Formats: sequence, C-alpha cells, structure tokens
Amino acid sequence: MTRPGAAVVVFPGSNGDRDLLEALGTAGFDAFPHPSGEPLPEDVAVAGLPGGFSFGDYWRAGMLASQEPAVRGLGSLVARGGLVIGVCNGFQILVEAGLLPGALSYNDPAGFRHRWVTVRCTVTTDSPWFREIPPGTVLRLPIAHGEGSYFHPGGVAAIADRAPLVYEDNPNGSIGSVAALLDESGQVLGIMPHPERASDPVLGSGDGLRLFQGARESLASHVARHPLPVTRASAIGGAQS
Amino acid sequence: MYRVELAVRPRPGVKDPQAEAVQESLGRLGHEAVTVEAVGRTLSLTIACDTADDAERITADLCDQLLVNPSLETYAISMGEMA
Repeated sequence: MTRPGAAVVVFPGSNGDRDLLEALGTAGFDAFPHPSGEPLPEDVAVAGLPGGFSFGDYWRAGMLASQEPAVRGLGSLVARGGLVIGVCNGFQILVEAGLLPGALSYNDPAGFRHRWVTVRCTVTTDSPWFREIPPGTVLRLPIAHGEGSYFHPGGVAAIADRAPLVYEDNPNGSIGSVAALLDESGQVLGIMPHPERASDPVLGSGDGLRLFQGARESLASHVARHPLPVTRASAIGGAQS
Repeated sequence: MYRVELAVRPRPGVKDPQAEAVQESLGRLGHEAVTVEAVGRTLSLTIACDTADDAERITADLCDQLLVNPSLETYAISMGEMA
C-alpha cells in the first residue's frame, strides 16, 4: 500500500525535526521535511510540528512560527481529514496559532526540565492518535522544555475531556497535570513530552511510537474508504527506517 | 509619526515563575525590601499615523492579533508624538 505523506514542518530553530521524521517513517509514513515558509502540499495526510526553539522563541515561544504559511494551512489540512501533531515547541505553535485552546508558559517552578516521565492515557475524545492506546495505559516518554506549563483561563474543567495524557508526577505546573491536548475533532494533537524520542526500545522506550502507529492505522482505514487525497504518490526524501 | 512603548506583563493572578526566580536571586543579594511584582517584556515601536488615537488603535490591533496572549497576559501603552 502507498505510504501516506507526512510533512515535518521545519522552522528556523527547530531541532527535533530529524527525530520526528524518523518516528513517522518507522510508523509507515512517507515522511519528508517541509520548510515552514512554504504552503503545505495539498496531498499530505499528516503534518508534524517538531520540537526546538522556532525563531529563537523570540517574544513568546511559538508566536512567530504560528504565522508561517505552512502553519496557516493546517486548518485546511484538518478540514480535508488530515492529522496534525505538534511536539513540545510544536505544541506551543499550535496553541499560538489558535488550533488548540489556552496557553503554554514558563515551567512552575521555573527552569528547564529534561528527564523521563510517565503519562497516563485519559483520552475521552475519539482520536486517531490514540487508536492503539486505550485509557489507563501508562507511557514512558522524555520531556525537555522550559515553557511547558499549560494554562486555560476556564480551568481544567474547560479542557478535561480533551486532555488525552496527564503526567503522573507533574513536572511543570500544568493545570490538571495536562501533558497533551486534542482539538474538538481529535485530529490535532499537541503534546509536551517527546513521543518521537521514545520510538525504539534502544532509546529507553518504544511507547511513543504507538501514537504514530495509531495515526498510520487510522489513515489506512480512511484511505480504504476515501482513496484520495490523503496519500502521497512519490517519496520526496526525508528519513525513513 | 508616533513613538509607542508597549509593556506586556503576566495578568494579575497568573503564576509568574520568572518573577519568583528573580525575587529569590535578589533576596540572596540582601535586597529584602524589594518585591518583584512581575516579569514582562517591552516593545518599542514607531508608527506612521496622524493622531494619538490612530497610534493607540493600531497598537491595540497588534496586541489582539499577535503580541499578547489574553489567557496569560495584559498590556499597557505609552506613547508620544515624534518631533
């Protein structure tokens, strides 16, 4: 079967793009890097926003990146049935772009945190990203962020049904220990831990790969029903395993 | 032409870990009388427009569209006409 296309949007200052390309390739996508300054190709099934420090995190993390042409096209991708994942800085960009609600701010207590954490799946919104991860599952994933404290002015009640993962030991002061967030459709996922850096047991955990595999499986059944437009006919390059 | 100084700071009541960290460092230096109320950011602008109302409206638009996250932040504007 043709591998669905997955564009990993590379911003000036991204540093997790190679990891995300590798994980998406391992999960069965035709993953390729895409410059943030160009509109997304119309035939991709997935867009991935990697971790890093887009535009140096100037003014507010993710703010400048949120205005890039590739990001402004994400709404159209979702409307076409495509999927979006934003990891760490990618999560910040999705929030700044208004594709996810609330805000991400400085860790509380202040400081950069980088370590392995465990998160518990609490998904209640039907989402392709959690097709392979039933509620109650505990995943071991790494974190590496200074501005990962999730806040919503309406409190945790405003987003509880859209928080698919919560930290078992909150590392950053997020309300409700929220580690990830879905949009109303379940197609857009923002996640502060790094599933792409836990995509092979040799890295310390293979738990993160299950997110990408779920998305891949979901698209396979979607493609079976709707052959176009979510497949990419030819590889453009990028990392695959 | 107007010069605008935009000051963005955490909304009152929102956790401000940067202020707490600076407070702790100042305390170590012996400045026990000082309380750090907030850590924010400033942006200096010049705006080509004819009136102070225009400059204020344009700056408010910038804040609403991009520069301020209303979930976390609030802002203040000071401005003056350039000679």
